[in-house]
Amino acid sequence: MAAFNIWPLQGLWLPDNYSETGRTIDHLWTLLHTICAVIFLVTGIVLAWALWRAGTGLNKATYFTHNTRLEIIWSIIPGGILVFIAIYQMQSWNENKLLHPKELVNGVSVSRPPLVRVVARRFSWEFHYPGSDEKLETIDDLYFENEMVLPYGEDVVLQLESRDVIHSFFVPKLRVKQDIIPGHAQMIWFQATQEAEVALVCAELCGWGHYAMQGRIKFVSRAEFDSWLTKQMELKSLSQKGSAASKGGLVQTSLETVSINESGQ
Amino acid sequence: MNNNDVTSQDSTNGHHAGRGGLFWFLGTYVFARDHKIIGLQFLFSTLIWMIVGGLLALAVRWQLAWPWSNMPIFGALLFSAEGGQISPEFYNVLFTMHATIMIFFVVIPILAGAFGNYLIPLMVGARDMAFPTLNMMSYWLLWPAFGCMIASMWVPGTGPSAGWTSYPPLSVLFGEAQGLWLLGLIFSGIASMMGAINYITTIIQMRAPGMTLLRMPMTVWGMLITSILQAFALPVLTAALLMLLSDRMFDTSFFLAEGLETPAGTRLAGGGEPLLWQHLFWFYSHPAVYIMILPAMGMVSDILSCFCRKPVFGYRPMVFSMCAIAGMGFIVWGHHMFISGMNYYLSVSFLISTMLIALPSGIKVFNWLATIWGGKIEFSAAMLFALGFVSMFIIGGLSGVVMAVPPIDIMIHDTYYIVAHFHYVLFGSSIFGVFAAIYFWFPKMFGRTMNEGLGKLHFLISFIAVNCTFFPMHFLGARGFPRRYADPYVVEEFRDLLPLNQFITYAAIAMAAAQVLFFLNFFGSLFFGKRTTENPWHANSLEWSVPSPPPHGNFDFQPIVYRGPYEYSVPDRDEDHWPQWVE
Amino acid sequence: MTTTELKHQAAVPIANGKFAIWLFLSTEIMFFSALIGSYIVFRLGAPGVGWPTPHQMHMIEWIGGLNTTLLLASSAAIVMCLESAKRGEVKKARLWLFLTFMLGCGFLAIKGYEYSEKYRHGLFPNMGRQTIFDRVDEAFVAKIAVGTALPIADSTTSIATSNADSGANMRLLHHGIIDWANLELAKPALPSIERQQLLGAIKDLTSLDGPSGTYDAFWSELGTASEAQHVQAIEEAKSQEAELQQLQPSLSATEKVDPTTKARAAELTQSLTRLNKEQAELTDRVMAINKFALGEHESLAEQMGVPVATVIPNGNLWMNTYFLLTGFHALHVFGGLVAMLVLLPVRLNSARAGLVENVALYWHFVDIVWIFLFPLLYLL
Repeated sequence: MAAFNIWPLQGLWLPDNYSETGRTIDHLWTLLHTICAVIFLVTGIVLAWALWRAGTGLNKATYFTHNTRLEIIWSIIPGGILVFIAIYQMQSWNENKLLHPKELVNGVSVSRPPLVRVVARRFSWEFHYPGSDEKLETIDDLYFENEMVLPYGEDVVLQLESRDVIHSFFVPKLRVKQDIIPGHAQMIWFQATQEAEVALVCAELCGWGHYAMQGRIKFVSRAEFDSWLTKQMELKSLSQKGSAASKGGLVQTSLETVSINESGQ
Repeated sequence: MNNNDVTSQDSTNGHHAGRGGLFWFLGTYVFARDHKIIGLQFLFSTLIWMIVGGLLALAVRWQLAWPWSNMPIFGALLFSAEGGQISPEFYNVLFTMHATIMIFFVVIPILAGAFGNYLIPLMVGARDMAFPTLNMMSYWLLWPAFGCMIASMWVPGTGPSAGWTSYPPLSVLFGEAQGLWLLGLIFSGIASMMGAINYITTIIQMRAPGMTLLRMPMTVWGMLITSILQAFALPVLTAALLMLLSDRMFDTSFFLAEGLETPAGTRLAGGGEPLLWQHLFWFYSHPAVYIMILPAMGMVSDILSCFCRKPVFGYRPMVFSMCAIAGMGFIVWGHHMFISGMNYYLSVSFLISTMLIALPSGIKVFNWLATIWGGKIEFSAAMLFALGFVSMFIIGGLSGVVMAVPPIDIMIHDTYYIVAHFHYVLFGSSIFGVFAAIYFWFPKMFGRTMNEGLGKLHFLISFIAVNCTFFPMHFLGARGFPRRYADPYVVEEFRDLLPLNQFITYAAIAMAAAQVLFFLNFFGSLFFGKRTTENPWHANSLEWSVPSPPPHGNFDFQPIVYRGPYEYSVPDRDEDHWPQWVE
Repeated sequence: MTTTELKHQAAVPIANGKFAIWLFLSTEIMFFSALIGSYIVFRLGAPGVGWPTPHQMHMIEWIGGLNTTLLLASSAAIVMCLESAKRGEVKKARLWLFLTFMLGCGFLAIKGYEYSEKYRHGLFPNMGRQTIFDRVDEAFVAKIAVGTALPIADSTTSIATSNADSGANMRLLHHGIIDWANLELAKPALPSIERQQLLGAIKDLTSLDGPSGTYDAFWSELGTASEAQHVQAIEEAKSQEAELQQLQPSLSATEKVDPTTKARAAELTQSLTRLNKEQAELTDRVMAINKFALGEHESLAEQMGVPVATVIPNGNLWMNTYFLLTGFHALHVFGGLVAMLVLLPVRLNSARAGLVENVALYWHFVDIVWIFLFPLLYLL
């Protein structure tokens, strides 16, 4: 966000946003901090003025114990602001967490199925893509570690799971965060707006390597994504055949043969 | 520790019959049943524990500013195995223990234990607490608790490193010392509960004639509400802690989900619910936030009123907003869990209750401002800290409202924005309130005053350093800088935040230096402070009617209360204060 | 400095002790609310087939009912004690207190009997954190089948089915093994040998057409196979021993021993030690399998190094909460009994009625908690 660029605070505000749903969060963020800044300034000025006045040599303090009208005013106005905030944020919350993206299948609107199954474990991220059967959690799933490729310009749904302890899927530049509780599969969604590479970090303490549990997400166009995925499937079936010949039917998805770096561009 | 009590308290206890001998000594100074001595025991213990907690925080800051570099002096002592560096495991231990000690062994016991004990009977006009022996046990149970805590750091393997929130499955499956940590917490919880029952009984049942509930000083109200919160929220935490302990010790699976992987690679049948812990934990720990601030709010109200020579503005709304905070404090715990995976419609209801609870907090701030307005202010060290409390509570409160909005929580949950917020509330407010209270009641406790000049210098450096330390953390949080990272700079996006973190660490070191001033002042004044009279601040509440320090049994007259505690600068009177006990 | 009591204005016209007891009891209410609340969460959130019924868990209503009666009676007795104390009838009060104490002890004794009954059925508070499935049997069978490298397909196809029920049973077993094997395969760090075995098992089972064999038959088959292995090992050992015996004269007769003979002898000795060890293991295994068929699951689990849980779905969580709730209640009962024991030698006159009343309040609370626990655990 370029809005905050005063020395010495350059770059010390929200990072760039590459997500459609994140815009509402940024908007709320700016709005709330503006309100807070105003309230802070007003109370600060009142406090400073009261203190300064006291230093000018009063003989005796003014005796007053209460002022019902004043108290009603300063209960109702903040109350109104709080109610406004509570109502105003609903849309953003809806978009981010409540309204699962829909898609049309044969003319019927259904919940968009997850594109990738993200499995968190101490201290790495596993990304499982559906294989040729287009279903997750089957034996032909493609499997990558710490590096994920996703298409931009469309709603992407991810299914989050944890193998061991609680982790949290946090992508600052997408304004996406979701704790992953073992035993609960969580869905998150977002729509990236452009080609980008962003950091994925863990935001819930998961042990000594918590800080090192990071991944990269790369957004490419749908066409590129499709061709990348097809290529990965081919590579996998090749390696499977190869290993089937030599090792007697072992299923193996090796990261050396299907590395993201090789096939990205 | 207790030697300090003895020397400082020698004059306090001249009224015991048959002094002398080991048993007399133990009964009077060590296993004392007098609320004042217990209060001082709490005060000295918590100040020592504060040093421990503060050093842990400095170690955390060291790692964030100069990751993996050798720590001077302490590095060689503590981590010689790693060549003087902090290991990532030990980094987790550091912030876990910092939080645990500061919350359960500093802020809560110094507010309720030290000041609650010392002030409640004096302020309501009683000879002692309702149950002196229970009071003594409540103090002495804290030592085994603290012993367990400190011992847990040195257990072979990993110390308690699951954070002070101790979320399972991490806290069940990993970390050898977590059980000892849990035991320490259970002990400290029982200690708090004993105290809470004692305080409530004393305040409700043992007020002097004329001391109606709405004539009680705000301090007593703060203590009462805090104790009620303790009494009703702590048992839930105790139950949860026992279940977690049982998961660790007896292989039950209350908080272990089905099918999760153990370190050994096996899968658990589990069937338990990790989220349940978070609900139970925050059911206590959110009220605990108010437990850590309400007494300070009460004490600061008294101090502001006294040094402004003005009544507290809107006494009744102040009391009612405290009650409202306490009541609603029980239904807002879910705002710690907006993105935890609980039902997202539930988040909305927790948002609404959180917005509701922001209102009484706001009203309190406005009332303080109105109290200051038009006052004849004496800028003593105590007053400065009280003003610091108000100004920083405004910042902490405002960031609290921002965080209460669920979509924003998506961005800043578990980032340094949260760290900034709760340090503004817990350090900027609570601990500043404690400092104000120490400067204010020190004359009553020891019959001597603390050095004002040093006190003001202490305030000046602390105020600047606290803001330099914690305000930039908001910016870190805005960038998505996660908390509890041993080395955040492994993430490319956070690498440019290193200079800011170094700045924060310098500020933190300055803050620690200011506290050295405080300790010099405190312990120096115990022996060399100027002797003082029974009411040096010309304050109104009952504790100023007795000698400083008060004798055993407190009152040598039957205190009768004629008015509220804030009759300062009453128009038709020559004297600018009108004590509660004067007809 | 006077030592006279100060005057106070109490908000509630009762003694401080009684006030504090009421406060203490309200904290206790919060404590038990947390425990019972957790129980409700677990119960409503139980995955799969749901929460076990009391009968599945060997809960016997009349024993629980008897315990309820004992506690209720003890509550009445302590009220009588209080009344007697108020009237100053010290001896009567003591008798009533003693009766309360004995009834409380009776409650704990019955509770202890119930606990021991649970243990006898293998229901421990800490069983079964180590298994994956609610349908533990299948996972367990699968592990054992792979662990013994037993050809599953052979053992199951050869068994003819006689009725539809056992056919369904067997199908369940197959599915269980396939599910389990697939899950195991998903582990990235799986040793390749184990991976091969698992794939083989899946292949064998999926190639099977429909049901074949019964659950019990599988176990008998497993037993027979192990027995066969056992016999084979014994046979082999016998033949090798005979060969060694033959070599013995040539080893001891001459000064210069043929190096090949010497080597062979050494080899045989070594092999015999191994066979003996194997034989012992197989003996254990056969015994364990036979025990398993009789329902003693733990012995085989230990023998195979495969942990096994109670076979009742959600049973372990049930046991966790059962021992949690009744355990903490029993601790509270125990606390009350200690308080009564302290009061027993005291002269309970009207001046000390307050003490009795405080204990009675606490005792009623313990009673009320049980009134909640009894239907939750025994009836619902």
